[in-house]
Amino acid sequence: MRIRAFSLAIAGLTTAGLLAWALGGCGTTAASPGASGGAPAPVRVVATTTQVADFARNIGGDRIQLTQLLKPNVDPHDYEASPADVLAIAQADVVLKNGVGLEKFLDEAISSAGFNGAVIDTSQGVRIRTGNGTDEEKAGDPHIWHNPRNAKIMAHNIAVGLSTKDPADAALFERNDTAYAAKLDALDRDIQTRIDTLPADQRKLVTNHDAFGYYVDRYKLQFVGSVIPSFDTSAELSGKDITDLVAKIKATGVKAIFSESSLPPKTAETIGQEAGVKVIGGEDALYGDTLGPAGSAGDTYLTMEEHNTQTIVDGLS
Amino acid sequence: MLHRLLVEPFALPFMQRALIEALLLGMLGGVVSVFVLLRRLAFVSDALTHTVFPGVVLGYLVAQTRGIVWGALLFAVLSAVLLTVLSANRRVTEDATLAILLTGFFSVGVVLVSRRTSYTADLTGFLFGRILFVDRREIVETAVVGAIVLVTLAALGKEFLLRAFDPDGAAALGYRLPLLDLALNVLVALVVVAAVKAVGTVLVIALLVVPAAAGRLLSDRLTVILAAAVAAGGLAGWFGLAASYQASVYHGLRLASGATVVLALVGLYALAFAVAAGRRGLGRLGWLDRLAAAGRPAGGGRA
Repeated sequence: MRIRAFSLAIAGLTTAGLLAWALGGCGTTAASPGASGGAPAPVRVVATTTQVADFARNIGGDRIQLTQLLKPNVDPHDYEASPADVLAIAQADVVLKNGVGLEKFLDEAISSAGFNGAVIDTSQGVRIRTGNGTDEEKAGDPHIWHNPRNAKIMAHNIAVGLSTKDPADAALFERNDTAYAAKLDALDRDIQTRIDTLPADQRKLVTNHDAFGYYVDRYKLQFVGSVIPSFDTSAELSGKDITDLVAKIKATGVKAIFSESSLPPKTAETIGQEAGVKVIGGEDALYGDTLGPAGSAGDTYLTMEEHNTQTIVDGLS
Repeated sequence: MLHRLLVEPFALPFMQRALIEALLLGMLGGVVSVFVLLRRLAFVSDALTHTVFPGVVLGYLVAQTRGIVWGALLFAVLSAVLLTVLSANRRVTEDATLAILLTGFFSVGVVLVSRRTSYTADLTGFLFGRILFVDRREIVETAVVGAIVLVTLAALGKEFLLRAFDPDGAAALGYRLPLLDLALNVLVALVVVAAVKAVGTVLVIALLVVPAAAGRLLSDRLTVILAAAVAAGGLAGWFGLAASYQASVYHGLRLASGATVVLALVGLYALAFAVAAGRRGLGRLGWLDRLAAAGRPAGGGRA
C-alpha cells in the first residue's frame, strides 16, 4: 500500500513548511497605526464589555472610533473572538477593560494580536469587594459598575486614558467626563430615592447570580442569596444548594426572585415554585453582566440601572 | 479579488498562525479520518471528545492552563485503553460499551466541575475553541503530535488496513488484533487532543469524520480517498478562516473561526456529494446513450 509513502511525504512537506516559517521570522508585523499629522484621526479604541463601551461613547463622542468586543446579553464566558476583534486590537491605540479578572480572554487576545499599546484598567481606584471565594473571583467581585459612584471612577479613568493618547482633545474629554459624572450623580440619587420607598424589611434581594454586590452595598439592601453561586455561570447546583436557598427565602420573607437577561431562568423558576414566590424574568429580567441590545430597556448604562431599580422596587413592594 | 479573499488576511501574524494550525490539523485529520472511516470509528471519535473532559478539568485543577493538554492526553489514552479492553468482551456490543464510557467519563467531569465552582473561561475555551489565539508553542505541539501520528501510520498503516478489511486473515497471520485496535484508538485520541484547542470539543469530531467521508464519495480507491481527505481537511482550514475573516472584518458578521472551518469542511462534503451525484447521473446517461447507439436490449452491465 502507499500509505507509508504518503504519510512520510506529508510529514516531510509539513516539516519543511514549518521550518521555512520559523526561520522566515513569521513575516510581516502588525499594521502600524498610520495617519499621524494632518487632519487628526479619531483615537482607535477597543472596549471589552458593554458597560465600558458605553462609558467610552459618552466620554469620547465622535473623537474615538470604538470597537466593542462583548455583545449585549452575551455571557462573557461564551465569548469567542472573531478575526475582526483581534484585528481591531492589533490596530487599536487604546484598549479599555473592566478589570478585576473579568476579561480572562483579553491577555491571549492581546498577545495574539501583537498589541503593545496602553491597556486602561477602568477599575483603577475602585474599592473592590472580596470575591465569592472561588478561583473565578480571585481578584475580587468584578461587577463594579453596579454602583454609579464606581461608574464615575471608570468613566474618569477612560477620560484620562484617552487624553493621554489624544492631548489635543483633552479638554473635550474632560467636559464630557464632567457632564457624564453629573448624570451619574443624578442616577445615584434617583436610585436611592426609589429604594427608600420600599419598607425597610422588604429591601432584600434574591437574584439569579451573584452580580449585584456593589448595588446591594451602595443602597443598603440585604442580599439573601443567588441561584447561581458565583460569576461562573456554567456550574450546576447540587440538591442541597437549592433546599438551602428555598429555606432562606422562606425564612426571610422575600417576595421575589430576580432573573437576569443573559441567563436562562429555569433553575430560578424551580426555586421560585418551591419557595412560593414569583420569579421576575423575561422582558423584565435584570441586566447583570451586560447591557441590553439597542432599543431595549437597558441599552445604555443609565437606562439599565434605572430599569433594574424599577424592576426591583416593583417586585418587592 | 481572489487574492483579497484568500491571501490577504494571512498577512496578519495571528491569521498566519491560525492558518498554519488549521492546515496542520486539517491534513492530519484528513489522514486519520480514512482509518476512522475504514474501521467505522466515528462514534469512537465522538466518545473520545467527551471522555477527555474530566482530564481537562483535572489538568486545570492541578496545573491551571498548562495542565489542560496533559490531562486531556492522559484521559484520552486511558479511555482508548479501556475501550479496547471492554470491547474485547463480546457479550456487550461495542456501541453500548462506548456509550457507557462516554457518559461515565463525562459525568466525572461534570461532577468535578460542579464541586469546584471554578469552571473558568480557560475551560470554556475548550468547548468553543480558540484557533485565533494559538501561539508558536502550540503550533509546535500540534506538529509534534502530527509527526508521531504520521510516523506510526507509516509503520503500521498496512497492518491497520489488513485489520480493517480482513480481520480473520490478520489474526491468522499472527497479528494481535486488540493491540492494533489499541494503537489506532490512541492515534485517534492524540488527534482529538491536538485539535480540541483549535475548534473545541464539540466540533473536533468533524475533522475526524468528514474529510474521508467526502473522499469516499469521490472514489473507491484508497489512495484517492486519502488524497481527497487530506485536501479537504487542508482546504477547509484555509477557506474557513478566510471566510470568517471576510465576514467579520468587512461585513460585521461574527463568524466564530473554529466553527467556520467546520462549516467549510461540511461544504466541501456537500460539494463532493454533488459531484458524485452528478457523475452517477452522467454515467447513467452515458449508459443510456450507448444502449441506444448499440440498439441492444436492456440488461446486465453497469456503466
